[in-house]
Order: sequence, then C-alpha cells, then structure tokens
Amino acid sequence: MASEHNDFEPFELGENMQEDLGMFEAATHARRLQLEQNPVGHVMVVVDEGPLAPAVRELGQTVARRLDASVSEHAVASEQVHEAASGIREAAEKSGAGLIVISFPCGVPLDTGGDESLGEVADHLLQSVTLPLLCVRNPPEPSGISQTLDCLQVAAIRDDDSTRCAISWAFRLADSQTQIHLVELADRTAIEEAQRLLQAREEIASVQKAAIERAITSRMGSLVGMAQREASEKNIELQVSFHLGTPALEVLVEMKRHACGMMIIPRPADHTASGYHLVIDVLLKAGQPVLVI
Amino acid sequence: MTPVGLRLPRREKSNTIGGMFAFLADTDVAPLAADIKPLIPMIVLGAIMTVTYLAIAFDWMHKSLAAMVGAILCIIGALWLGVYGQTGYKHVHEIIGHDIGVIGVIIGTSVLVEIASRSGLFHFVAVKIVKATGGEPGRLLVAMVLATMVFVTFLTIAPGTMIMVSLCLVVTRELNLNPKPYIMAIAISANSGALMTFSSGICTLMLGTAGQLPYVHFFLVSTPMGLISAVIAYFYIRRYYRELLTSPMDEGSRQQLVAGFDEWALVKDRRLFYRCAGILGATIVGFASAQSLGVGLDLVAFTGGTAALLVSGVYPDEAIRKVNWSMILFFVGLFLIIGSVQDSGLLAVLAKLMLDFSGGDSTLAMMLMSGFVLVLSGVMDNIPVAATLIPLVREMGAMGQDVVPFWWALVITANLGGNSTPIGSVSSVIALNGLEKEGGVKVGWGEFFKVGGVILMIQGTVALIYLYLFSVFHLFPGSAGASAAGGL
Repeated sequence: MASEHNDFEPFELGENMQEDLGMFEAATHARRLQLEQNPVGHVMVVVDEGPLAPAVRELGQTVARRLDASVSEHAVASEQVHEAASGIREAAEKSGAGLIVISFPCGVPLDTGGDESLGEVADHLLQSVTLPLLCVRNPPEPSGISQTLDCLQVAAIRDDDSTRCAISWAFRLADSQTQIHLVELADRTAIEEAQRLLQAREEIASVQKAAIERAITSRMGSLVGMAQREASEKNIELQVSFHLGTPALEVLVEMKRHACGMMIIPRPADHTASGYHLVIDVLLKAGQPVLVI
Repeated sequence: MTPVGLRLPRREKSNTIGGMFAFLADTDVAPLAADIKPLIPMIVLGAIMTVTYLAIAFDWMHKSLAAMVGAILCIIGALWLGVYGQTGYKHVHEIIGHDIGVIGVIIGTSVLVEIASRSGLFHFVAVKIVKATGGEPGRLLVAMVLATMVFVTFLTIAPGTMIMVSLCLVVTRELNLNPKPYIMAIAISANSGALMTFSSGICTLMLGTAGQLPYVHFFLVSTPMGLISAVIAYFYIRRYYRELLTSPMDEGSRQQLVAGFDEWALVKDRRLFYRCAGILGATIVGFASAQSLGVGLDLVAFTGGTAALLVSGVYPDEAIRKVNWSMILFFVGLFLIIGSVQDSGLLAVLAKLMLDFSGGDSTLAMMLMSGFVLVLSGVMDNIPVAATLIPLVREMGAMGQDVVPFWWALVITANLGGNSTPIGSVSSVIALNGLEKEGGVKVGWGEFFKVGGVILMIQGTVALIYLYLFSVFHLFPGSAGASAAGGL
C-alpha cells in the first residue's frame, strides 16, 4: 500500500512535481523570441586620473576586440566631475558608441562614498544614459582582464525586453570557449504568484520554494528557450539555475562559485523599482566588472 | 544465516537477557518436520513481523518507522531467544551485509537519476514525443504509454512517472483535453515499464539481486511480458475512455499549438544532459556485463552515480540529499526483520508447507505463489511482499528446488499486482495525487478498480499463462529445466 505521504519513493513528491510542472509549463507557454542582433560598432572608454584607468582601458579594448568594434577614449578630469556625466553622454552620442566602459566612482578617489555610494557620475549616468554601461568598481586581478569573458553571468529577474537584451549581450561577448550562467531570481511578483499558487492548493510549507521556482521557471521559458537554442547553435555552454533569497546576495555568491569574470544585469527604466536597487547593490559589492543593460 | 535443518546449540542459563529467556527456545516443534527449530522463537518473531506488516499495510505509522521498530523488536527478541546462535549480535551485521548490494544499487542509481533528471534531458525528449503526436488525442495516448515505459525503464518508477504525470497535466490543459485517460495510462503502464530491465524498478532490482538473475535474461523473460502487459493496458484504457479521447479543438489549431511548444525552454544545462545520457548508457552496459566482469551491480551503480557527480558540477550534497534515505532505512529494517525470522526457521517451515501443498509440483507451486502475489501486491506495497518472499524462495532453493522460475514469477507478478487499486503501486499514488491536486479530478476506488482491476485480471491471466508456458517448456534461462533441455 503506497499512501500519500509516507510512500517509499516520493517523499518529496510535491517538491519534485512542482519542478517538473514548471519546466513543462515553460515549454508550453514559451514564445519564440529572437536575440537582439544589432551589431555594436563602437566602444567608448571613460578614463579618469584614478588607479582604475589602466584596467578600464584594457577591458574596453578586450571587449571591443570581441565585438569587432572600434574604441575611443573620453577623459574625465578631476575638476570637471560635476559636468562629467553630461560630457560622457554627449561624447557617447557624438561617437555613436554602443557601449560605455567606465570605473565607479569616476573622477574622484576610489574611497569616496565608501561602500554606500557609487559617486555622483554613476548616479547621473545610470539614470540618464540608456546605453549599456560596463562598470569597473575594483582593481581586477593581474590576469583578470584577459579572463573576463571566459565566464559570463546573466541575472534574470523579469521576462521582459531588458532581460532579453542582457542575454543578447552575453552571446555578443561569448565565443565557443565561454560559459554563460543564466541565474533566475525571484522578485516580489514571482513570490506573490507562487503564494497565490500555494493558497489555491493548500500546499504544505516545505513546498513553497518549489512553488516559487515553478512560477519563475514557467515565466522565464521564452528567454531560456531562446538562450538554449542559441547556445546549441553556437556550441556555447549555458547553464540555467534558480535562486531564492536576497537577489543581490544570490547573484554574487553564484558569481563567485563559478568564478565568473563578468556580470550582466538588466536595469529597469524606472529607477524607483526594486530591480534598480538590485543593480546598485550588485555594482557596489561585485568584485568583477558589471555590464548594466 | 543458520542453515535450515540445523538445531541451534543450547546455551547454559545465565544472567544475560539471552540466558534468562533461553528456556523459551527449548520448546521444540515436532509435528511439522523433524529437523526444524524451536517453536517459540518462530511464534514471537513471526508475530513481530506480522504486526509490522499490518502497521505498514494499514498506515498505522510511517513505513520506515514501522520497519525500524519491527527490526529493533526482532533483534531483541532474537537475542533473548538465542536465535542468532553463538554469533550473537554480530549476526545482525551479517544480515545487513547479506543484502547490502540492493541498498548500494538503490543509492547509486538514485544519485545518477537525480542528476540526469536535473539536466532536462528526459523533459526535452518528452516534449519532442508530444510534438510528434500533433496533439491528436489517440496518438497522444500511445505516446504517453510509450514514453512512460521508456522513462520508467531508465529512471525507475517514481521519477519516470513524475515526469510523465507533469507533462500530461500541462499538455492536456493546453490542449483542453480530459487528463484522466492519460493519467490512468501512465499509472498503469509504469508498472509494465518496471519489468523492462533489471534496474527499472526497486522491486525488480531487489528480486533480480536476490535471485542473481543476469541482466540480459530480463530481455528474454520479463521485457516481453512488460510489452504485452502495456499493450493490454493501452487497448483497455482506450476502449474504456473512448468518449473522453476527443478534442474540442480542430486539427489545424491543435497542430499549431503543439508545434509552438519549445523543448529548449526546459533545458537547464545542455552539456550536462549529453554527459548524463552517456553515463546512463554506460551504467546500463555496466549492469549488463557486471556478472561477466565479476563485480556487483552495486559497484556499477555507485560508479555511475559518482561519475555523474564528477561531471555534472552539481554540488554533491544537493544530489545526495535527494536519495530516499527513508526508503533505505525501511529496507534496512525490513531486511533485519526478515533475516531474524528466517533464522528462527519459520520461513523454512512455510517454504516446506508450500512445496508440500503443491505436492512437489514446482510449476503448481510457482503458479500458486504468483496468484498470491498478484492479489497481495494490490492491497500492500510490492516491496515488503517481495522482501518476504525472497528468503522464502531462498529456503526453497536450499531444499534443492529449482527456484529460477520462482524469481521470474515474483518479478512479473509483484510489479503487475499493483495495478488493481489506487494505492497498489507508487505510480498510481503519484499519478492520482497529481491529477487531483493539479487537475482537480478525483479518481475513486470504484473507477480505478473498473479500469486497473480489469486490466490486472487480463494481465494476471496472461502472466500466469506466460509463466506456465515458460515453466512447462523449460524456457526460463538459467533454470535447471532449461539446462537439461539444452537451453540457456
């Protein structure tokens, strides 16, 4: 007799089935998405007089080579900090840059703002520039820059266009040796969705994580399908994982675990959204360069 | 274990627990057989085993807990009554050691299956299969039965059924189909899938290990029966639910919808799934060649599980956590109970009674046992049924009986027997639970019996004829009859 809860095999019946259901829902709900294909022709590197300038310059050149793009430099002098953000924006527009590489804080000593602030230039740029920003916060390891593109991590919170752009950027920067980690994270909407699911079925508490994972897996199906199909065509290693917890902490832990050289994170248009705070948290705490899309 | 027919040495009374109760062991039983052991230990240990089985069968307590409580009581009882002889407590470890191979295979395959499921390989294949049907209800039913058989063959019953039930619930919801016929088909055909290979089901694996049945012999005996029983289940379900196997959607919309399913959306790690497919294949080859290599299946399973951990990059604790430790404890408890009862001599008495009852006709004895197991597996989990009959068959072997046919009879009937009731097999429990929770559809005992019960009657009849023919024509590979007839 195999009763409901004390059967021999599926002691984690609810949890395992939620996972499987989420996967199949992802497959059946998925829309066929395409990666963003616009080529990036030019990379603008912003250098100040600080110690990160050589690293920013080298990273800019490395990335430009991978994108097959030209590179230009835009210098920021210490006394121009207040006007720097608008200067960068104008220079980027003028040069037709598709990507800005910059260190934060910019134009001021590294310890300005401590662990709490990225500096005035960063605040302005993140809110006013729609171009992708590749941000360097810490001096990289001696051999770090050349390995930056060996392992890329994409943080996926929403199944929206910004996440699709972030995934597209990962494939732009990847070659056949690159590993891409797509980290699915639970935001408030996903948790609320899972809670609705739980209430509807009066599930037990231990299944909560599985229900949240199901909601997210199911929602992210289109993006995962797009990414896996592309990875299969280009023979690139792509791993998808789900993380429940404090999003910033989870992506940082995962980045460290896989020794990823770069994080790619989408930024919401609304800078009051929780996703925007996640971007700031990650920029403040990540040891590696972060590409904000 | 003490050989049957030997009287245990009498001990001097002492201050020990065993000594205090040793007088009980001195009461001999004469009428049944001249050489059997004392009656009291048989009664005491037999009673503990019976109560434990009742606790398991009627859910008086958690199965693993019941088995552990029963095991402790059996050990204490056996020590008091001197059942373990001069070896004493050390014999407990000998009992566990005797069956450690089964536990090793279960642990090794659990880790491997967990990692393989995690890769999305089987989910990917499942969606491909559904897409191939174009969403046509009849073809979808065939696909569900076939895919269940394949997944259970490679993943064992619980994980295989879980994947198929999830797929079925999602796909039928999308296609606006009634999920009931498909879920019933999965629940019932999973038990046929368990017959496909040595490692397709826990019960099959236990019996195959105990009987030392070679892996390739399964393709000659139980695989054909697995396929026959699945065909029976498919046709009966298709007939019974013919009115529900219709689609409200027109063919064009159905095909368009199904073609839109994206199998890549559920792949977590493409390279992992290629690696897992390789390891799974190598493990199956390893199972098949273990005997000729002179190694145990537990080593093959452990190697497969360890290789999967090595290449997957999955954090070992995560995969090891998914091993069903509760089931392992259940097995340890069960083996201790049965080992102790066997040492008391009770199972030898039962084996002799069974052979006497059949008048020494081994085919009749096998058929009687098959019928008994078919019925009992419907109301009780087939694992304790098999675990109890294993030492019984061993005892028959020790009496000089050719037991190869008995092992095959147990493999086939213990697996198919679960089809008669909604609680008879793990696949039915998973399938009906999923249907009720996710689909909001309940299948009662009456309805299940009308489907599963009738299917079991047909499958059981066919299985009995099949076993009878194999026995009469000496077709069981490795049996004394087959060897005499110049067969395998």
